Amino acid sequence: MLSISHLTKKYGDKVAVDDLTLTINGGEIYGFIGHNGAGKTTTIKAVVGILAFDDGEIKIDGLSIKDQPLECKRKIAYIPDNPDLFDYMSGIKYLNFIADVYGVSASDRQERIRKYADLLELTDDLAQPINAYSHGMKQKLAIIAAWIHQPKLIIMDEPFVGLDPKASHLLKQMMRELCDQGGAIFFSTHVLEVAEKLCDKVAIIKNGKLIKSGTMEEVKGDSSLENVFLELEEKPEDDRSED
Amino acid sequence: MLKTLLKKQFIEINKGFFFDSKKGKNRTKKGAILYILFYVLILVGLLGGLFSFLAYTLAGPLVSAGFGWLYFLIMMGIALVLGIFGSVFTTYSSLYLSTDNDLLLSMPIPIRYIMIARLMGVYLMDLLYTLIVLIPMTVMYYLVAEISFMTIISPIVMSLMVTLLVLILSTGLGWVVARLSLKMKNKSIATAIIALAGIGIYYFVYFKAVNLIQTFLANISTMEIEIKGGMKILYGIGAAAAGSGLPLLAVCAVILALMAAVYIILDRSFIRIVTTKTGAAKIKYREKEAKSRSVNKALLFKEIKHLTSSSSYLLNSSLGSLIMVALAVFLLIKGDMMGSLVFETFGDAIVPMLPILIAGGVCMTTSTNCITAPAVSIEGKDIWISQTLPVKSWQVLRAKIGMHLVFTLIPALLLTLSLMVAFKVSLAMYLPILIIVSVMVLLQAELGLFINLLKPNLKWTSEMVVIKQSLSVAVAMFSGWILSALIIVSGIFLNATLMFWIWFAVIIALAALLNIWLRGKGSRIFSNL
Repeated sequence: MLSISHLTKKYGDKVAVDDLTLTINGGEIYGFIGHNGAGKTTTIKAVVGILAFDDGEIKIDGLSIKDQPLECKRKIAYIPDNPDLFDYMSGIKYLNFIADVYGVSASDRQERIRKYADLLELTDDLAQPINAYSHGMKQKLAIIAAWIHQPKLIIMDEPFVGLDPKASHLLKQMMRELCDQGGAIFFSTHVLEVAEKLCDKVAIIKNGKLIKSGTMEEVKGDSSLENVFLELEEKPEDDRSED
Repeated sequence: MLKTLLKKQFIEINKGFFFDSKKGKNRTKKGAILYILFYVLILVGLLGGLFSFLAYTLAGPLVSAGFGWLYFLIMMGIALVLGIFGSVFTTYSSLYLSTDNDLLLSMPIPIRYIMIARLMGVYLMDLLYTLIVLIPMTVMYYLVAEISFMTIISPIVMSLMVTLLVLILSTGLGWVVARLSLKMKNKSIATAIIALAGIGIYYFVYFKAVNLIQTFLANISTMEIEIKGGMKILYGIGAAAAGSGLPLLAVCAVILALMAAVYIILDRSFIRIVTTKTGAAKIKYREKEAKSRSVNKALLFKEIKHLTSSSSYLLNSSLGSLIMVALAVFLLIKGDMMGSLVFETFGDAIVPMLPILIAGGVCMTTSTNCITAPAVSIEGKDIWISQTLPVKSWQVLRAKIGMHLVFTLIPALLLTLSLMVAFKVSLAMYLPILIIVSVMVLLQAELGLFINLLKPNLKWTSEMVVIKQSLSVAVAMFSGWILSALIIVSGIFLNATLMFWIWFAVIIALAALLNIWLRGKGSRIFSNL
């Protein structure tokens, strides 16, 4: 579903992402973890096509994001770390705008808005202007907008930040449901307990380089993900070749 | 601490000078200075040149005839109009609606300092607009007047007073808007109505003053000069600038007293206004039958919604539409009278010039609408949405142009038709004039986007920074005015018919070139912002 090969992104002399290679298959929830400034958001922005990269290739469902960006974008949805939405619209107008752009029919969008807004308990607030929403409400709206066109792949940057426990639980259910239907999820998080319980596969990035990846069992073994992550973080870069 | 805040405010307004968005890093000191000099040269060279020419034309004859006070009155009036236009609609947002209010208020900073820093931001814009008139006014006066202590000092002091008067008027109106909007649910509409009412009152007073000056000028020829009534006050203001000590003291006292009053009012109310969130009554969502739109219509709707939901954006960027509709209505009612007046004054010599004058005049008015010039920057943090949607960047940019056309083209064509009917333009010229006006409106929309794509600012804390206090808007608006002025001047001094067709071709060519740039490089810039 998503193939990242030898991705390299530089900001001036600084290498933000260094020769990163990852493959995410349909049906997988893939967690992406790393310290602040490790290169997670840069990778995610390159995947969703809003950041040009220097080297490598990103393919979504077999299509190159560089060569066929529009076709790729039709297949994915993106939720950024900070849900900055169009504050000047109401929630429902925003959802209709997104549905219009993705060509979701009137009946389908009505059904999906009803389903997800009810699920996330946002229905009553849909007529409110977005600037009156709390952070969590904006996050919920961004989630509904991401699900509205039934994408094959959803890419999320810290999706659980700002969500209340119930909404977090529902989001995890929605993620699993999408993957059970053959879709895929690629998301970054700092909440390692969530990643450990939810993800089928995980990748750990440090200073732009992938230092460990694989199924949850392969990465953590008998230990916890938190222990493995902290251990890898403390290890000098030269020692990692053994992993 | 105040110095730090002022520096922050200054950097925020002039971020483009210090930060290279293409490279994502700060410019070097030398680079920033060169960049500032470049823009100062453009502004001073073009607009300063225009007002220097005006000052040069007026100063000699009026000062030598003993009407130095009238020279100052006219020039200070122009500065006041320009200054008010430049800052009146921005003050409310600049003073009270910055997104970093909460952050600054949570810090150990005296509230007064925050207010002063915001006030300085408004004053900086006020200076930018007024000084391009006041500096040439003062310099030209020095060249022709007899030099004495008072003739040197008075124009400088009065220039300062004019800038303060602009600040008083704009902050006063901003405060009224803020106070009333605390009690209103729909702040956007409330702000728009109050600001328009305020500007209406201001222009009523201004035109009254112009009438008084015109009556006075009519009497000059018959040598029956009598300064009385309202003219006495105007005379006093002009004389103060020309070196009369007592009027100068009186004007300074009045303006400084007003400034002190405004400052005290702002100081006492600032914290309450910025921390009171009235909010709107909760609207419960009721499901309606969903309707789908095409992608392009959805993008256009999004742009229009953005424009109409912000009173600052709407007022500052599309004021020209209101002016054009008002002028068209005026011409529908008084068109015959205006036509007769023009033909009586200029005779048949004006007939061949009418197409180019009408085209240039309408273009001058449409240049007041700067809807696209802040349209990229105003996306701010939301820009990721447009960039991740499965649409071409050109489609997003085209929607912004579409918004400009929706708001500008219809009133522009209405005004053009009213003018052509009122001035009895030959029917054969109707279509070419309508085409040149339409293409000019398109060119202005493209030009605004072009400049904004070259100078984007997505990291603002007050939308006024991009709506009004940005180089994109200033350059787009002034370019439009200068181009329109060139059209008019060429029509007057050269072969009007030939120039009409030359401009016809030039404008179409420029619009086509910009269109090609926007589809190609402009779209690439947008997708990489």
